Amino acid sequence: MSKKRDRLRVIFDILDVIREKGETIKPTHILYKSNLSHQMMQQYLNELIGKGFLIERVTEKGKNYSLTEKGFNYLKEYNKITSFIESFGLS
Amino acid sequence: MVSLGYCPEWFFHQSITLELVFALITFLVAIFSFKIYNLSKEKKAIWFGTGFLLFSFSYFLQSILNIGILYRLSETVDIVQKASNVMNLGLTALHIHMILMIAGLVILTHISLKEKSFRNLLLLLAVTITPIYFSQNAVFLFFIISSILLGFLTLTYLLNYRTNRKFNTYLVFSAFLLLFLSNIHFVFSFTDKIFYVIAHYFELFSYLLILTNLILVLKK
Repeated sequence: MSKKRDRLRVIFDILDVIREKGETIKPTHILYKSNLSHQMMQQYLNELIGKGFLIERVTEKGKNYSLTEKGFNYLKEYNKITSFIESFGLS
Repeated sequence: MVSLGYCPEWFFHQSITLELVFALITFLVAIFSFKIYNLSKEKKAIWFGTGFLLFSFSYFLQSILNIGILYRLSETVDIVQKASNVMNLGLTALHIHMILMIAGLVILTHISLKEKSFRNLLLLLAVTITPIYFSQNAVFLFFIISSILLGFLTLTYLLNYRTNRKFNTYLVFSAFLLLFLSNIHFVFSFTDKIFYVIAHYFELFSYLLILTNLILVLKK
């Protein structure tokens, strides 16, 4: 991952980590793979849950996360999203 | 004719066709922007789409009412009554066209200012639309306000291109520059009708550049 990433790229990286891991993933693994501070990661996770890209499950062992269909669609259409937002200066 | 300047007679039908083309292209941009919002949940995309949807309604209304006016003029009814009906219809359409266009431009400007306050947007809309609605010289004022907004947007897209030197950012900057130039030419159409034609072709090239950008995005 590059040092300077924009918001859309960070979202892509978080979702991609979860996709790579498979069904569910723990927050510590996302923290390790996404290269973010704990506070920042938590902010992004809350935003992604709010947007409907992730589902958070609380179990006895702690929290874990999985992708929704919207999350998969974001990963699939990421290039179109960034190209559109970048060209019209919407970032 | 719902004309913002002086349209040459030989250009009546072509200008209606061009306005329908502008309505279609801006509608496509709006729909795709809503799709981008649906995929990314980026709020700016929905505002951007709303701005372009207002442009689309503005052009569509202008062209449909011009078709209606041309049809009504061709009917064989009382000439005074006909002229009065056409004048009223034309003035209403002209005001709605200008208000929708300004509202679209204000929304794009609001986004480019990185503003999130809805109250500020309402204030901008009130400050720009109210004088046009009440002015004795609404068309001239419309051109002044839309030129300022388009000039600002062109500068914004130039800065976007300078920080992000890519072909698609250059396309969008060029498109808004052409829209700005088109607006300036509309002002001069009051002195010479040919400027009305030139302005329409500037507008056409501008929207074709925006369409090209949209096609490139879709190919990604």
